[in-house]
Parts: sequence; C-alpha cells; structure tokens
Amino acid sequence: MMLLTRAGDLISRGADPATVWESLTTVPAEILGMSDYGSLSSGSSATMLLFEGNSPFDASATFKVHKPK
Amino acid sequence: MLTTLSLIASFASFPLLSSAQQSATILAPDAIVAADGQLLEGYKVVIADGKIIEVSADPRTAGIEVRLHGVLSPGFVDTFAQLGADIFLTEQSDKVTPNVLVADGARLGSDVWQELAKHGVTSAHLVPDPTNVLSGSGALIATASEASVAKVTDGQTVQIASLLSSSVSDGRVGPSSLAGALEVLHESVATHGARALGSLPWFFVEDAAGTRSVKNLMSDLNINSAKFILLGDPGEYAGLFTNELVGLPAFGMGELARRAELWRRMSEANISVAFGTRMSNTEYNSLRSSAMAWSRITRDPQAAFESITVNPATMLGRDDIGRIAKGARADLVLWSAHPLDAQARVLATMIAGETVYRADISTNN
Repeated sequence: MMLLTRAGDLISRGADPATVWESLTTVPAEILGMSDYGSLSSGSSATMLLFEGNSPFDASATFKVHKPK
Repeated sequence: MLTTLSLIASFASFPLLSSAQQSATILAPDAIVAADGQLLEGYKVVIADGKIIEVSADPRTAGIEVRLHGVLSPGFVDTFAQLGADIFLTEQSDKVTPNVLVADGARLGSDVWQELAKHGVTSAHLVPDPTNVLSGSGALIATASEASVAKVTDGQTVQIASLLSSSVSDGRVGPSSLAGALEVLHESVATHGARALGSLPWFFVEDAAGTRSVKNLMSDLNINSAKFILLGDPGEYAGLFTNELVGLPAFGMGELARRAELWRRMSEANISVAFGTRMSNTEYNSLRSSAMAWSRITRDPQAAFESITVNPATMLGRDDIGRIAKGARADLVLWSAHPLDAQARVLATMIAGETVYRADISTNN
C-alpha cells in the first residue's frame, strides 16, 4: 500500500506513469535477479494483482459510476 | 415549464467565460464529481452570475450549452494556508493580538495564487501564525480572478487561537509554559467574554493537555462550534477527537510513511479531516496528494475527497464552496479524469463563474 501511495504521489506531481510503474515492477525484479517476476508475460510467475478503477494509480477506484435514471 | 434553447458548442476545457457573461451557461461534462466524491455521468451544471443555479440531467434553465471533455470537480479548499502572504502573519507585540486581520497581509498579486488555481485549489483560508494565544482572524481567498489576482472573499472568518507550548514558550510573545498560555486565555475571556473568541474559534493544539484545557473552557462558555487544528504528533492525542472534524496538515514529500498508521487509526475512530498546507511547502499539489494518500491508506475515497472540499467548507461554516450544488459559487475544475486518479491533470479552472486558467491542451497528457 505504501509503495502504491508513494507512486501515486510522484505521478500526481508530474512523474511519468510508465517509469513509475516500472520502478514498482520490472526494475526491482531485475535488481533482485527475479526475471520471472514484475511483468505479465509468457513464462512469468503467475503472481498478479487485480485493481479497481482506471489504473493502479487511481485512488478513487472504489467509486462506482452512476448514470441518471 | 421553460424550454431549453441550447446552442451546443464543444470545448476541451472551459470557454473563456467572464463576469460580464449575462445569460446562463450549461456546462455538460463527461461526468461531475458529487459532494461525496462519486462520479455522476450525464449531469449538467448550470451557472449564472458566478453561481451554480441548477445541477440536473435535464436542466430546466435555458442557456448556452457547452460540452466539456473531462470530469468536472468542485474546486479544492485549503483549510489553513500561509503561502501567498507576507512572511509574518503575526504581531509579536503582545501575547494576545485578536484584532490582527491576515487579509491585510495577503499579497494578492503573488504568483502563488495562480499556481494554486492551476492545481485545482480555488479557495484558501489564510490564517495568522499561531504564535500568540489569540492571534487574529483568518481570511478566505479566491485564488484567482479574471484580472489574474487573488481576491479576499471574506476578510474576517474565524479567530485563530493556539495552545502551543512550542510557541508560547518564547518570552517575546507569551508566558513560559502551557499553563501560562492557559492563564492568558482565561484572562482574555474573563476580560472580554466569549467575544474574544468569536462564535467559531479555531484552536491550534499539539498535545492532550492543551486540547483538554480548551475543550473544558469551551464547555464552560457553551461554545460548541470550536474547531481544532492538530499539530505536533496527533498520534499522541487524536483519540480525543473521535467522531469529530479536525484540521490536519497536508504532507510534504518524505513525510508519508510515519503518518500512515496514524491516519488509519483516525479513520477507524471516525475522525473526519480537512487538510491545510500552512507554511509547509511550495508543493502546490500537496492537498490533492494528501487526499489520494488518505484514500489509499484508509480505503475511504469519499472521506478523502471530502477532506479537500466539503470538510474545509464545513469547518468554516460555509456551504457555498467545496461542492457542486445549487447556490454554491461556481468554483469548478475540469480534470482529465477523477481528481483522485494520480494521472488526472487540470484542464481548466473557473472561480465564481470566471475562467481563470486553461491548460495548453497540446502539451497536456
């Protein structure tokens, strides 16, 4: 949770979302020598998260969209 | 029933509306953000004379309809700000200076205000430095206008008081201890009555002893509307505010980790918060960042959104800012997505019906 909160903070202040996402996924995996983690790709570990909302950085994610009746 | 005669135009952001605009304008965004933070699709916001006069899927008011590509949010409200003012918002000539009006120290032409408007902040409550026990009245500032300067919309909001031992220990401005500060406060009230505090005083506190003392005094004076800004380490005393609404400093870079557990516990105690920036930084995005962090940490996005919109307005006793509702001032921000989505960017800002900022769409993501 803290990682995602910090990442959202960086992006809201102008950081590139793709770069920030990599810093949470592929970059640490590479540093740790865990090449089968950090991405959704053929052969990778089936270790996944399911986010609500438009993106992992959307802190309004639990909101529902209502349409007028 | 009135017939809506709409001339439909399409804009990526607000049209250049001015205060001289006579007829009603019907803003038709992709979605609006309701007071509780929920997205409502298909709703339109009708504005005239600087105010919102109708919010409806099918407005009855006639006017020119403007299609907006984006999410329309109420402007954010900074609960307690000190940027954009002369450095010293205080008089150190006495331990109580209740007649200080910080509106006199506001630098309305400062670029700070424009930057805040660009980041979705349309109102800021400027407060005096809480160094004296009674330190003067706050002022509500509209952060931008057509003339590119901020405006004082209420020059005397609430009396700011403080029981901060870190401040009153300074011999220049007060007694040497919290007990001494309390004595000053009691003395002032005894001399001037509750008038010295006003009907809606705000207290800056930083510990349990000061908080209990103020609460006891307010109880003696039958003032039920006092509000508190929690400084210091609220982890030590926030439990005294269960089920209440309090002011809380927005966080700056690097400060988040040690606040997460505190915020989680405050949420669990049903403490509502209103974020303010005080002097903390020049990070114009800190209100929004704090709200996003509150949402993530507490899993309560509604409370998070309210912390920078409705709650600050409630602390000030106002219902005309911080919400998209009939009768509210037309302080509106057009975002590329929900403002709690970190990837959202401000496309345009309107204050009191005037378009005060439009992003350069060609460079906006």
